[in-house]
Amino acid sequence: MRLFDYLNKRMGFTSRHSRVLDKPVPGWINYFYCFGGITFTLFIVQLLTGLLLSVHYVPSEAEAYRSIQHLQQVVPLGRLLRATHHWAANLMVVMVLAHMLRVFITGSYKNPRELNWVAGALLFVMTMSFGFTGYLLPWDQKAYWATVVGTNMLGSVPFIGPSLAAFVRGGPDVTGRTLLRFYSMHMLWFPVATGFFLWIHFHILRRLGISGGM
Amino acid sequence: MARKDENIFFPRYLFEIALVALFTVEVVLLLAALFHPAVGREIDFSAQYSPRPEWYFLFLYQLTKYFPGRWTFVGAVLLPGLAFSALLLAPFLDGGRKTALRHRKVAAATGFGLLLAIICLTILSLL
Amino acid sequence: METDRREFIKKALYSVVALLGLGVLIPGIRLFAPGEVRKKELAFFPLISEDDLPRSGVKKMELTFSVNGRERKTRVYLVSSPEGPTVFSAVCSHLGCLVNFQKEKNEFVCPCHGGRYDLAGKNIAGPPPAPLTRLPIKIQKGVVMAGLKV
Repeated sequence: MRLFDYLNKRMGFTSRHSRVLDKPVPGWINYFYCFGGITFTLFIVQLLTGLLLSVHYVPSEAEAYRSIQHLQQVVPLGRLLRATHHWAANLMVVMVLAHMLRVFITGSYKNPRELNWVAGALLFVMTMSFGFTGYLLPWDQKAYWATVVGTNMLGSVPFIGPSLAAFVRGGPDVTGRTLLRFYSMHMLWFPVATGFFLWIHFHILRRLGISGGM
Repeated sequence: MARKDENIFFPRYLFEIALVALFTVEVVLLLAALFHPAVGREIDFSAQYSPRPEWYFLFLYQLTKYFPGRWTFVGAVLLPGLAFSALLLAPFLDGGRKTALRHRKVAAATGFGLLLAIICLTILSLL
Repeated sequence: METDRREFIKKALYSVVALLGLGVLIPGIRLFAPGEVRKKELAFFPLISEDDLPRSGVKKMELTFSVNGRERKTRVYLVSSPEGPTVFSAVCSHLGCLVNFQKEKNEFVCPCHGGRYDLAGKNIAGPPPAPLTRLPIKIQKGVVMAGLKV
């Protein structure tokens, strides 16, 4: 506690945080209001397991597949690490959908919380994009062909389709350059964007509080 | 300060959140310990293979089957794009102050209709 | 006087911020776009020796080609008939999966979205928008060469 006081005097935790921590929470909320929080928990799990995976993964055409095999077979707890990232990702999608469904049913997105829904919908896109880009990273049969089909879908748009697909792939075909691009998105761009949208999401939640009763 | 029917966030409510978070992490770890995702085979540019997307993209996979020829983009990009736009703009399309579902019949029909369509497409793709 | 000065500085500030933004955005987009886009050119690669050509039927084959000095393979189908051989790329014209040959029906079938092609490569059912790509062939020193845009 001495340490806490020392830091508090210099950084002022309590003055800023007490406003958040002392906020009253309506007594009628129930466990259906947990899905968003669970999603956030899973996101943190993804962040931590992702950081650990990045220590072992090599995003190159020649090495990616082998680095995953090495992770699975040689690295202590490597299999568990990858499995955790896999399961948290899947559960995260489930929880995002559950959270959105709850908000839709209770009509919580109505005035004045419209923008919070918009930020949430963008977070939903981020979740799906994480899923799509992450699928390629093991660089195995499933990854390669699913990405070929997925990016070709984008390529089917009249006129601009082929350039759009080339933009996403970093070239006319799915190659090591696509792998690097997806890795960069998955590891840097999307997490930064997600952090930004999460900040908006929580900021509005704190400002307006949980929406009124059903 | 707090009314009788309200809980203070700290520590009472935060404790509950921490419990739910702990439970979530435990479930993930349990699933991860029990079921490992396999590593697929190495990329082969000529072997017979039928790729499947993740389960949450299966509806899209199924949808592309229904739009032949140059209409491919309707199933692949246009319809999902429109559905997402509706989702993004939901609070503006579903205006008014009433929150109960029985007062929002159009919104409810659209929302649940979309959800039902996606579930049906997903099931069809698994058959 | 004081307010004029403040208004001016405000405008100057916004201009500087806008310039900074553009200075990051424009090169950013340029850098993100796919790099040097090389035009694909037709090149011929050996497929099968002339003596080994089947008289009839469909043969699944691998065509080894090189792009930027690296070897890659792709699947092709060699369709033999009295009029001579034709070679089709197995890449489905719909979304790029590799089609399989079904003997019972004498058709090429895409495992992804169910597109079907006949032995002439023509799309006959399902979502494909175009026939299978027919690779040009030529015979050089007794070897059948198939042309591919690489």
